[in-house]
Order: sequence, then structure tokens, then C-alpha cells
Amino acid sequence: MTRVRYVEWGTIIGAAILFAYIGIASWFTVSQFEAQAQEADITIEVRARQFAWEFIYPDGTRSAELRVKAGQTVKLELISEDVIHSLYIRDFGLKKDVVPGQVNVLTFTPMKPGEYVIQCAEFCGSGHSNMLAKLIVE
Amino acid sequence: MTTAQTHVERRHTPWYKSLRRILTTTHHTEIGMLYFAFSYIFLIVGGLFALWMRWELATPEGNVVDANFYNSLFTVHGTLMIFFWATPVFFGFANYMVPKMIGAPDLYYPKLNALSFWLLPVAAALLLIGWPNISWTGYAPLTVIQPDIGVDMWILSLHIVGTSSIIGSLNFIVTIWRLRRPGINFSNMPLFVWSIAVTAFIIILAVPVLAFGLTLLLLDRNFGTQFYIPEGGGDPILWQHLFWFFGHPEVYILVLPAMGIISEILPRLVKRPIYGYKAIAYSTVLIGVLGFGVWAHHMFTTGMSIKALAPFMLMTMAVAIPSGIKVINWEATLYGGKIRFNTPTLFTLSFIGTFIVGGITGVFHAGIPVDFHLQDTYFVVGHFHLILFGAISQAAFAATYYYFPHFTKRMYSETLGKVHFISANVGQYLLYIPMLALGLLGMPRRYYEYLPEFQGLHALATFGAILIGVGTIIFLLNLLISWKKGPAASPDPWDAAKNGMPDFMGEAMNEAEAQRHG
Repeated sequence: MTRVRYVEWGTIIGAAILFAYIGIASWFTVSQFEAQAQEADITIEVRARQFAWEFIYPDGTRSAELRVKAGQTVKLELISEDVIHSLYIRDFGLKKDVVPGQVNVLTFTPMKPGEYVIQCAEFCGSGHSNMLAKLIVE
Repeated sequence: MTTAQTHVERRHTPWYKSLRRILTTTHHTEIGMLYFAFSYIFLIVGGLFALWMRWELATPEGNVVDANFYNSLFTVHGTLMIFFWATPVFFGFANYMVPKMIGAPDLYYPKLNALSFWLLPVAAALLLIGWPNISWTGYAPLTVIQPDIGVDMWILSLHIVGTSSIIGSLNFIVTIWRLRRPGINFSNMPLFVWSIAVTAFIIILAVPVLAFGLTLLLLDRNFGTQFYIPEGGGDPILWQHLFWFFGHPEVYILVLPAMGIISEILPRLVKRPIYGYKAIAYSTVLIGVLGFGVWAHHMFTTGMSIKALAPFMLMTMAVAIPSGIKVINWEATLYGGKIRFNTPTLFTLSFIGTFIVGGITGVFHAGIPVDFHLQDTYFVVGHFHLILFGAISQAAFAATYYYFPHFTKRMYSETLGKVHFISANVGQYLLYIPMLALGLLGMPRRYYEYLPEFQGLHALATFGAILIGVGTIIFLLNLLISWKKGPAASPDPWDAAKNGMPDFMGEAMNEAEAQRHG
């Protein structure tokens, strides 16, 4: 084998090992997300429409901002009233599409109190960039 | 006497000076030139739309255009750059070069070839007049409820451009299979011809799926069917499956010819035969096959289960491996070669470099939890622009400089070429690296207005975009002026034939045979 062949096979095998690691790590991370949804402390319904978010708490109160407590596992049930939206909390690196006709679930456990931004990440029409909401962790 | 005179006159007037000739030509080199003219015009149009958007994004609040107009700008920019710049420019190269490379007199069906070109202006006109504002991915149900007739025109435009590429691809497949001269076979066929053959198969398998999805959308919009509406038993996710089943192979429809043309010009520029011919040819086929198994990586956040998504994650990472094989073989070709620092070489090298950067930023999206953060942010925009502009368009530029002396028998200006190279490369990193950073910071794409904290990076990106624009203007002026006034070029401008690698293998073999018999 020439030197180039060693480099070539080295790269192929190296990349394959790296990719296998990323694959396995991703599998476990996402499975953990899915398992988390089973043991949520609070379930909040999210209604998305052009171009606003509405959060409905278990006691029936409705709000334009999402208020949760630090350390509590929050399960969001995402419902769209018109087109596809996507709930994106950039500081948590989390995103889930809000698709008409299905209820998607997004689970997270905020640890640090503070104010965060919720953005719509799926193009939904002329007001897409104004479809923002506040997430307040107390 | 009179007939002889007109005959002589006709031979001296270039074909492009007669409108009748332009409209009726079926010759492959002339159709190829029409493809170039068309695609470069739309590079300018799409580029102006991009600059218009960047100008709007220089400040956080919307103050240049209104939101709907901005949405139309990115919709038309995206559709146009993919279907009317990056695809046709390589169809142009294929038209001009494939018959010469395999020693054929023309394509197998010259009239169909003219048809597949002339469908393009119709499609482009429909798109520009329709001025849709639904983004190039056209996600249902937004596209279903949007009342604007522009969306219907967008659908018809894509139908027509799809028909054009299917006809063109059938033509190339038949040509490559039936018109290869004796002595050219699948173990020595030029790599560009390999890439066009694979691309043609991808088009024939992928584009009908898009046409099917678009037809359902047209029915939903105009005839009250509910394929994409949940109330009627439909599913908006169906559109995403159909669209991306076409949409991801489309990426390979664009990149494989670029890789093919680089595999042709790189060895001739560095005067060293291509390293690993078989590896490059087979990896082209492998990319084409694997490319059909990755579409759901555009849909990691739609709520599909991990069990459905994991195979797409693995396939997405797997498709990086044949791409990596190509890069290593190009680098091996460079190793020990005589690198001349002329414009096509510089663009070839920047193609390889940017392809590595763009490719690696692509692998990030394959990891599902990472994609949860990056999906639909500027990171994606930065990634695919590095591939589409930084790699694919720069491959087209490299090949345009390289084959310019063949096309026009004249030489372009090296100085202006280098100015173009510098502005395109400095510009693209100023434009796309801030986009990657914006995405990591959480700036979603397709935003008309944005939070003030992102302004610095956006302003930097706008500056980069202007640099690219200036470079592209210099590039096109260079070509247009050199076409008229450039110094005469030798028939073997890059000493390719002298080094035993004639630019058009089939044509060279035909000439050698004619000399033997003559």
C-alpha cells in the first residue's frame, strides 16, 4: 500500500469510529428526552397561531408568556391552530415543531432562574420574525 | 454565385448575432453557451436579491422593504439560485463537453436538448412574475392557505423546470450509453462524464417525486382536496417527506457535476494524472445512492420518534465518507504536482478548502440533539451557502476560467481573475462565518427583523456580501471584455494535451484517428 492509501483508509476508519460514537451518544441523549416526558412535574398546553404564542396552565389560566419554576420538569404540549410553527428556546438548545393535526411534546428542566426568549423557528408567514414570547424561570 | 456568397457570409457571422439562429439552434456547443448566458444572467439577478436582503438585515428593524417583500426576496432568491443558476450552469458545461469528451458529434436527441433549454426561460418568467412569498421549501399548510396566485405560478414554474431537467437527463443518459466512441468505456471515461451520468439518474428518480408533491399542492390549493390539511385526513408532514425526498438528492444534483468538473481540471492544472480514478468514480455512484436515504435529516424536529430518525442520522454521516474519499484523492493529486497559481487553480483550491469547511459544518446537523439547536437557524444558512457558493459556484467559476479559452479562443485577464478570487474568498468567509456564529447564538432563519444583539454579526455579513457582489461584477466584466478584446489563446491553453491529458478525450481520439486515415 502506498502512503496515500494509508491516509485514505485511516480517514475512512477514523471517521466511521467518530460517527459511530456520535450516533450512539445521540441515541441515548434523545431517548433520555423522550423518557423525561413521562415524569413531568407540570404539563402546559402551548397554542401557536399566526403570529403569537399562548400558554395554558393546568388551572386554566392563559398567558402570553411562559412562567415556570427552576428545577421543575416542564412538559409542553404543542398545538397549532393554523400552519407549522416551531418553538425554539435558544438558551436551552431546544426546538420542536408545532404541527397542525398532531400534538408534539417538548420537555425540559430549567435550572437557572432568569428571563429567556422563545422564538418561532419555522417560517409561518409575514409576521414570522415577530412571533416571540418570554420564558420566565422563577 | 449568390448562394456561395451567402454561405460564406453565414460562416463569418457568429451564430449568436442572429436571433433566428439563437432560437433554432440544436447544436450542443451553442445550446451549452445559451445555458451559460442564461445561468450567469440569473446569478446576477439572484445575487442582487441577496444583496437587497443583506441591505435590509444590516439593521435589526425592517426599514428597507416590507415583510412580505422580504419573504418574496428569500423565496425567489433560493428557488432561482438552485434551479436557474447552479443546475443550468453545469448543464451548460455538460452540453458543451460531454459529446466532445466521449467523441460524439452531438447529443443523441438534439431537438429535445433545445427543448430542455427553452423551457427554462418560461419557468424563470413564471417565478419572477409570480413573486411568491412562501420560502423555497414551500411548507404546507402555509402554502395551501396563502391566497396569492404567485404560489400557483411557483408550482407551475417548478413543474416546468423539472420537466426540463428530466428531458435533459434522459438525453445525457442515452448519449453517454449510445454515443461513446470505441475505446472509451466505464474504466477510462472522463470523470465529468461519470458525474453527469450519475446526476442524470438522480434527477430522473428524484424530480418526479417533487412533481407529485407539487401536483397534490396544486390540487389542495385550487380544487379543495386535503392532502396536506389534517381536518380532511391529510398530513402536512407528507409534503416535507415528498419535498425532501427530492430536496436532498437535489443537493447532490448540484454538487456532483461540480466535483466532476474539478476532477477534470485539477489534474490538468497541476500536470499530474488524477489520483484514484476508480475511487472518485465509484464514490460518485455511492453518493448518488446514499443521497436517497438521508432526506429526514431535514425533519429531526418535526416530532418523529428517535427510532425513525436514527437511520437517517447514520446515513447522513455515511454519505460524508465518499465525499471525504474524493477530497483525499484530490489532495493526493496535488501532492507532487506542479501547482501553477493561475485563476482556475486558485478557484479549484478554494473549492476544495471551502468544501471541507462546508462539509464538516454539515455533519454537525447529523447529530440529532445538536440539530435540535441548529435546525432552521443561520447555522444551516451558513453551512449550505458555503457549499452552494463557496464550493459549487466556485467550481463553476474555476471551470469557466479554465474553459474560457476553449469557448472564445481568447484569454481572460489574469489580474482581474485574481481580484475576483480574493474578493470572492474574503467575502464568503466574512459572510458565512458570521452566519454560522449567528446560528450558534440562536438566530432563526427567514427573520425579517431580529433582536438588536445580533446586529454586529449581521453588519459584518452584509459587508462580506457586498465584497462578493463586487467580485462577481469584476468577473463578468472580465469575461465580457476578454471575449471581445482578449489576446488570442492557443488551442491547448493549459498544456493539457502536451502532458498527455487532452481536455476533450473523445475529440482528441477522433482527430488522431482522422490523421491516421488521412
